[in-house]
Amino acid sequence: MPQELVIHTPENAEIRVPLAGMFSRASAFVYDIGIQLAILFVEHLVFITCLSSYRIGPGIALDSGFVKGLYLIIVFLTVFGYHPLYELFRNGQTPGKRSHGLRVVALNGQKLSFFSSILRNFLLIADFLPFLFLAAVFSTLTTERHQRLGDLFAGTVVVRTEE
Amino acid sequence: MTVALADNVDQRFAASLANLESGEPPRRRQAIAFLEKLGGLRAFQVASALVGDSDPIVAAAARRICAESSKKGLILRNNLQAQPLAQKILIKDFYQLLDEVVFIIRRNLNRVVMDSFLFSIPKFALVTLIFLCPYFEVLKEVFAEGWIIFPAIFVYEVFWRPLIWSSTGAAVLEGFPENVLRRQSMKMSGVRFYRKILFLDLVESLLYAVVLTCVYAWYLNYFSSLWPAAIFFLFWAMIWVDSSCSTVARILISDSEARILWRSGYIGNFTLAIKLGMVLALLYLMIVGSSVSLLWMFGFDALLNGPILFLFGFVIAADALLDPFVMGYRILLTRLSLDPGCL
Repeated sequence: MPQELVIHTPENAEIRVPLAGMFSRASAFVYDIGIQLAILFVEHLVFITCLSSYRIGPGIALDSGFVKGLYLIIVFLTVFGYHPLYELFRNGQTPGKRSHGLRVVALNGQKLSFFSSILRNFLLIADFLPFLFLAAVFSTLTTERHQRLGDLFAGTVVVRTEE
Repeated sequence: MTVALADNVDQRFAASLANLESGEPPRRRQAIAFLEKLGGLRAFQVASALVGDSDPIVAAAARRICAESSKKGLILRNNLQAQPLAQKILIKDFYQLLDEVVFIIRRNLNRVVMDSFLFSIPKFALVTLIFLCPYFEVLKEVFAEGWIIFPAIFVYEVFWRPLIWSSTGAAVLEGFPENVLRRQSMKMSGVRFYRKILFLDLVESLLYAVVLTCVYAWYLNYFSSLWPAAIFFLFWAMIWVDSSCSTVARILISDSEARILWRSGYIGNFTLAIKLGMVLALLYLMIVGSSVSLLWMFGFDALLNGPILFLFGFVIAADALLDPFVMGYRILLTRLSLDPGCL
């Protein structure tokens, strides 16, 4: 099995990029989880502070269902929007991936599309099953390009950069 | 004499090949002109061998054929297959080191999995027996007898483990990118090797067997606490951290009498050992947790409420699955200690 992603350009040039291994990916993921937890903690603190101190106008109290709903939306976006946001606007690199020299790319080596990024990150739930990402580990070990389930469905791959 | 071009395309192609093999420039030019007109994969295959031809007209025509074929997406792959595996890989951090272990195992995945499974049959059999305990009184009585289980632990750890090294260890070695190391795998068999690894690993394996015995003795209420196991585990861990790689190093060098010079901080590196311990703990948790989750998901809740003995079953199964990884790690560390920084 190759340990490289081989990309053929229309000009018949061949580009070989080393694939990222699962331990580097896991470490980068833990790094990102740490950042997400910090963001969630700050959001929670802000929400609690606002809840106890302020009211928005005469009609909307901060402890109303509307504000709680808004808070849940923000939490959802932080959890599920973090990875797509960075992957789409920071050239396939979340802070964790950047620190480990990794990058997510499409199978043809191009930048991720919006749909691919959303799909691969929503499928983290499937990768987590049955416990602590065993499905992802199994998939990464057995697939040709070290892809987890999300990568397989989205047509993406994580490569190692030399930056 | 020029070979006549027949009407049939196959015959004309064969005739062109014959003309190209001749030493006469007009015949060769005529043939390459025909191939250029013919196009397709066959012409591409022939033309790719003529790009550097001594006749500039033939070479130019061959280049044109290759360029046209490339535009149509044709790629000759025989050059790629002939490329050797990368000889040097820069390992920058601990996680990349672990990645490299996985890559090495993947290069020979089938044999590693097969050997690992075959030599873990005693473990898997034990796990099966443990899970059958609630249904068979005899088994329950057997597992409650220390005089049966304790010797079994010692026999397995001291005498069976060297066999795993000679099979799974050799399979892992075959996955290395270096030919020298791949050839070493052939040495990892035979009675002489078995005896060597048995004696070299004796202290470590005896201590490990004592740790397991203490834990099981605690389960059988021979000990009131796990302190004896913890103390022996500490001793075992110190030996493991400091010298776990020396056995493999002695196998890897061709001359058993040769002296090994440790030039790297990899061997006996306390931080690395602690990190590996943490990663292994996580991997054990992942496998045991996944097994429990799967049983729960498929409605085998009754098994989860079983005796504490089941926990041993899960851990033993996880141990069998992680054995090749630990072996790969040890061999790679040894290799790096002999030539640090690169593989």
